[in-house]
Amino acid sequence: MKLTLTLHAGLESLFNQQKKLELALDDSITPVSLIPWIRDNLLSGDPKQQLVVDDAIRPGILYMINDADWTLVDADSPLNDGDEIALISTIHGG
Amino acid sequence: MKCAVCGTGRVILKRMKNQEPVCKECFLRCFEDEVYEAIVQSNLFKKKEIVAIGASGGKDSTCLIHVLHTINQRYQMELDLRLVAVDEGIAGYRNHSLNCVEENAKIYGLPLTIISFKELFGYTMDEINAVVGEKKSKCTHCGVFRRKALDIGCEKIGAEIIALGHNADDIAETVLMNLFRGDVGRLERTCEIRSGSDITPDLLTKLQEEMKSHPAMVEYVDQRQYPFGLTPKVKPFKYAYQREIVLYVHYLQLKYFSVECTYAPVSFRGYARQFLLKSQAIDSSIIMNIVHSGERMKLMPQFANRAGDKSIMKLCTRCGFVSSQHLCQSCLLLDQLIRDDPAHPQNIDCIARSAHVLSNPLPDIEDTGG
Repeated sequence: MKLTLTLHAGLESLFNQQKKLELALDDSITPVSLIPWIRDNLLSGDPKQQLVVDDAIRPGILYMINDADWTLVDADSPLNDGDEIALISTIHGG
Repeated sequence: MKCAVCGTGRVILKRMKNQEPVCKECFLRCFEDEVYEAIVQSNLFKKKEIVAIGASGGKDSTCLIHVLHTINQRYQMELDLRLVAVDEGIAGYRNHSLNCVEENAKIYGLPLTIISFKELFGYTMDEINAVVGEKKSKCTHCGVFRRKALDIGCEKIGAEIIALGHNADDIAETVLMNLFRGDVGRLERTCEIRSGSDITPDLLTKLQEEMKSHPAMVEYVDQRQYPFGLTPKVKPFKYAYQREIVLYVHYLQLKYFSVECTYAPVSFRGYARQFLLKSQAIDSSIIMNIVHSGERMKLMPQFANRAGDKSIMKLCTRCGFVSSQHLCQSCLLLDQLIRDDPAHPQNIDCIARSAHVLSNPLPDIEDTGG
């Protein structure tokens, strides 16, 4: 399956300043398993802990699937081809 | 699951305040209307009033500009909205965020006034950093000078009130920080939705008398009722959650700047923030519970700190701004800077600088009819 991942509000700095990535994934990946997958396949060093804590998205970072909060979708059903994932930091000054 | 407000839309989030599932359109509308309700309930603004919005280019002030602009039109509030920004002089940070402010000024057709530290105090934050040293925090200088710069900005455009983007999370963080530090004297002011203007008629008379004999203030006596530094500050986002502010600007794709300040230390605020973020994961009402707790706390008089005690308010003997001491915080910090600055570039006449900034003509505003 193919997914789009977009990074917002400073999180692009964890991904070499990339704001948008196209991901090719195993069809069994779910909203829950996507987060450790991103950590293990897209990040190295400090950014791992800055995005993921205990295999889940770090508190203070919004995890949206097709514009909806990820807690509203069935966490254990596989994601769908073409889903749009957005990660948005809420932790930055003004 | 359908939207609890309209009954048809696709649910995109549960509201922080009551876990109600809502669609995107209803979320945006509810968010705006709740800010409007907070404004009406606390009677923050009067019709025709010139309202300055403190604009930093960050998410909160960008959101505040959009929401105030939107509800001003929707509910015929007839507010004369203007933007005031402060250029602290932090290369690689503030210059970029000010670009966002300038763009927003164009988008909404709102006049923008930028007050610079260099112009007002003779130092940029980068120069202050060089004097103070890498290891010491510069946030006190920045905060004290920014407050004064915003006040001068309000004076310059004739704003009677300034709206700031502080949200419920910011307030809860500050309440916790004050508790952690034992600095409870600030608690009451932290939680007020409106601050700065609640002085008694007796005190006002006393300050007006002081103005008449103050060398820096005497020329303003005929023009103004209030001394400088008393512009009321209001927080229309006092009851808005940070998470929903971020989502609001995300959904509307508002342009904002999200880089952390160059000088932001591994701060005490960071601990309070992490604690709150973890707590929120357990119970999302914790933020508002802290805000409400802060609101209901009243210090016994013997514990109220001097800065919070309005009755001792006087004019700074040098610059003439209201102050709790002989010299205001800003003049004290500036004296210290000049003492510590080996280059000691100039004797900084803050009165002449303020007068100069105030008398500079405002840039022409393109009337967009907005």
